[in-house]
Amino acid sequence: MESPERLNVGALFRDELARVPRTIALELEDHLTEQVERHVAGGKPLAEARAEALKSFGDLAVVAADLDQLQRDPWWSQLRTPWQLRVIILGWVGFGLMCLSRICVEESPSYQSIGASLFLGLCGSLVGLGLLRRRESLRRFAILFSSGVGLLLVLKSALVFGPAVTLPLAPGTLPLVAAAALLSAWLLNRPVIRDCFV
Amino acid sequence: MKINKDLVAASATPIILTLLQEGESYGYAIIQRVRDLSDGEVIWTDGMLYPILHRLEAQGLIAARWGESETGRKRKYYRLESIARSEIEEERRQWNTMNIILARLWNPQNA
Repeated sequence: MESPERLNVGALFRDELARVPRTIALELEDHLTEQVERHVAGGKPLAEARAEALKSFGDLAVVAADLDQLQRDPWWSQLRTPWQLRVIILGWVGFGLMCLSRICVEESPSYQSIGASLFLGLCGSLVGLGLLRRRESLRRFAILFSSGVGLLLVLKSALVFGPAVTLPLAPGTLPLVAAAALLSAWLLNRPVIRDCFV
Repeated sequence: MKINKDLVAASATPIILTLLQEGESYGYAIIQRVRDLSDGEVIWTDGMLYPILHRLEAQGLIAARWGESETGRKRKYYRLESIARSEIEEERRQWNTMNIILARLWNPQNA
């Protein structure tokens, strides 16, 4: 019986995996090689072990093509952002844009600037948290980066427009904003979203 | 008895996610674990696992890293992301509901 340690089984599938992208080929090769090693360790000749491994794997070309296609799909089409989070993001982004549009037309834009900065910071955080949660490390980066940018924007607005400004929003809009904040807080507390933040 | 193909396909995602709850793993080991757990009743074609793993990775439910096997081969390891916990819970609810419905239909005296 051939010793698996002495076999160069990795090269056994070179032909089958020749046209497969490198990272996919490496993963499939690892699988097939381990299968062959087990068969060989169980007493099967190498050629038979190789044939068995390929048979139990199924159609290698189809699987490789499927994996390749998955890698080509745009990442945003594969995200599973909960609808509640989308509602929050769209709502606050819309609000931030509204604040910005008011800045552009008003002569004294101080409080809107601060408000817009606050909400754009919040939007950035939410977008970062929601959309970049494919990787936890990226999500952590998004939290720190968005929070930092949001804080800087607020500080800059406060410095530019002076400490005399105390209200970030016009009084007439406060009930609407308070309702939106409550709705956001409720949605953010839903398990499906809460898990995004853990 | 062999489990039919549709049922195997439908249960693959919750099985993979729940297995990864036990800890980091890789393709071949996942298949072996499923085989052991089902006493050989559930036979996955090895190749069917990888598109599911890659899809779950793209969806952010699992994450992958490249490491080395005991023999020094490059190996891709998968681990569960925290977001997947609610997905597992949802799958658990759905499968339990189906289980209850079928149990009531097949054993009306227990309904």
